[in-house]
Amino acid sequence: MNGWAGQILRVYLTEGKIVKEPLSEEMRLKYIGGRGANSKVLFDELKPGIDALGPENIFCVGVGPLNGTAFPASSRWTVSSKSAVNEGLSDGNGGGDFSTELKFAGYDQMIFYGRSPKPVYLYINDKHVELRDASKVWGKGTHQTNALLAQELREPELRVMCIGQAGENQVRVSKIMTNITRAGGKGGVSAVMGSKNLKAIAVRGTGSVKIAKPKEFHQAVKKAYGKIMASPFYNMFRQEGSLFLIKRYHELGSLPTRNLQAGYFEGWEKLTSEAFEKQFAVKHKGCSACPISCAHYFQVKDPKYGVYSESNEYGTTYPLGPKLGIDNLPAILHMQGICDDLGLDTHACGNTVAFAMECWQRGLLTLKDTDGLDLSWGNADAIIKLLPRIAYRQGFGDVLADGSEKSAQKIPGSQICLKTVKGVEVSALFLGKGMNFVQGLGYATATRGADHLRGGVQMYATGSRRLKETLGVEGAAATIKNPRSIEGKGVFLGLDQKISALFNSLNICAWAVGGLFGGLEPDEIAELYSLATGENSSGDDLLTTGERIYNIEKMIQLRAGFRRKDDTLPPNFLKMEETPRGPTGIDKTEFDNMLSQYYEYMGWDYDGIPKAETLVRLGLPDYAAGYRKHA
Amino acid sequence: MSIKLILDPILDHLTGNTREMEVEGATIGECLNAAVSRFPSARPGFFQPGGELIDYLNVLLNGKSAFPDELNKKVKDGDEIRIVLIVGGG
Ligand code: SF4
Repeated sequence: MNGWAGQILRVYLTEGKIVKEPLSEEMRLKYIGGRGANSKVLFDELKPGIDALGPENIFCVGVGPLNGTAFPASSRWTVSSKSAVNEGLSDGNGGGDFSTELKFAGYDQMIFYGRSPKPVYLYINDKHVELRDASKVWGKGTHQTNALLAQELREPELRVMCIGQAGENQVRVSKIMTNITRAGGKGGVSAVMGSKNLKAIAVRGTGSVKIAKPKEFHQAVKKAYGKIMASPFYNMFRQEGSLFLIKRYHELGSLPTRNLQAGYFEGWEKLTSEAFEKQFAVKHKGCSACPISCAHYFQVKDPKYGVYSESNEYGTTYPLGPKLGIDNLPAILHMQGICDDLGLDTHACGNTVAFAMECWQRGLLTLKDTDGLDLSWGNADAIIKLLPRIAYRQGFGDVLADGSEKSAQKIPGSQICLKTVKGVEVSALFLGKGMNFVQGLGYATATRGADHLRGGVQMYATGSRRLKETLGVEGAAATIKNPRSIEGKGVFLGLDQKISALFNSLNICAWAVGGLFGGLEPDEIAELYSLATGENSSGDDLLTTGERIYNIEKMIQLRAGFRRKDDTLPPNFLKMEETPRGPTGIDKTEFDNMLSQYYEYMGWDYDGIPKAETLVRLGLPDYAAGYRKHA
Repeated sequence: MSIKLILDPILDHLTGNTREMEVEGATIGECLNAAVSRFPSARPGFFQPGGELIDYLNVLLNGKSAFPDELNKKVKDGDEIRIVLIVGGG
């Protein structure tokens, strides 16, 4: 088989049984791999109403046909399960080189069922697959887990996916880690891994990925690398990493500040890529097969905040910085190191701490509630103490360990401080004057709850041929450049979401996708995909696959009970306000019109339920007839 | 007549790291051309070969999007033109 390894693993943890199976043709061609294949398994196999942290939940790890090839930025992996936060879908996507190793070992997907009676890890060495006792690494952080497993297995080249103490303790604001600092997992999938007593997956693979047309594929890869390398955007991004967003979001009034109470942060200049590079960056670092290499190793020498780590990003800096009113970069880097080792998700955990700090600001929490921690904005030293307490569920840490919505049930009057959609904290940006309404629509409708990666926020469709074809050249330009008008936003977001489902299923990096900045567009991705797999597909074919996957996820959401009323935004976003620094938020009626526009483009009814004809068009006739039964 | 022009940092390597400058002109296009006459290497950073604004840039005039027909928008003394990168994500 070309592209795919052609084999999956089903691991029955309760019984300690492992079954190897061929990857089905339906899965390959209709769902590709990664996010698509995982979501399909969850939709088909999860029983309704089960406890997300009980043995009936299913945990999937998926990679795609391009992982392990030279395709640019094909480094990603996807983990998925039923959400432990909102009963819908939880998944996460991370980089590094774990996905490459798994493909080299010969597997496209792993599906874990049940719960092991004692802590275990899965060891894969090419054909050899076994569950092993994890008692030596249970209770250990991600650094030690990596080192101890490499030592135990005498495999210096081992690649490890694992949870830290947070996942073991079923903390919902946790994440799954590979390469020690590459993280993924929104919605508590790491807690699900912990609930299964599965500490890690350790892989060594010595094979390779077969390519259908190697010569043509490598020529096309060269062209794609050339395009990326020639782009001024990627030139800047390589230098600055995603930290480039700090100053831009501040200038656009959208830097999420003090639990999204504002879009400007007075301490922003201390957190920019320049400040980071000057003081702490050691050298560049990239994921496998990535011409962009956006990450850095970094070191803080000040003993108070000492840390040597890598991959300081916007996604670690905003939730531990402006969102908490903290402008102390060494402290933020130190906190990132703590989160990576304990396996805490910087987004969900940082956002939940921000919620607690707003509770403090409003007098809803006092020293008595917080075990003596002063949660005033900017108090980094208190947060450094709080993070391990969250991971170990100690005292007030236990109140926050399940995310802000569940914490709010324990803090009277704190609903006002919640900034969530479907139980998931709004991440990455504030809807300030410069931000595009499509970003709000993206948060409201994403299939994991508020989400900056599913589409809308990252705006993958900017510059795409299809946006221009659907809206006209002027219309496409207008919807991008008139951020605060609702025109065209439904199409913009719908396209974005199909693109995101596609690249997450191929498991290529979000940053390598998008026409406007010289990233890859669906037609270019399709050319490379066809040459690698031998399955001739156009960009349109692949986008239809992305749409099919998005609809499967939408049905998982519907099954969890979410409807139109839940496709909404936190109250302070659904309010247009004129501030001295420009307008913020969106008018509720305008938002509602935009939502209808989006449902119509997606072929969904007024309540956001896919119409039968949409599902038939997407090759899902069985679901068209019967999926309501599941709901 | 003096207009303040503020550039996105992605462009400042084309202007010798100058991000803010005072320029003169009656329209946004004239102001950008004034910057280009001072920093000729900035032309491909602002304009496509046919003279249109580069796709991934947005122009804010006194904080509001100047789209459509940005380059022909009239400006007056004391206005602020900000060239920003169209970005999102995290
Ligand atoms: S762009 Fe950055 S995060 Fe994405 S694959 Fe490359 S190095 Fe990794």
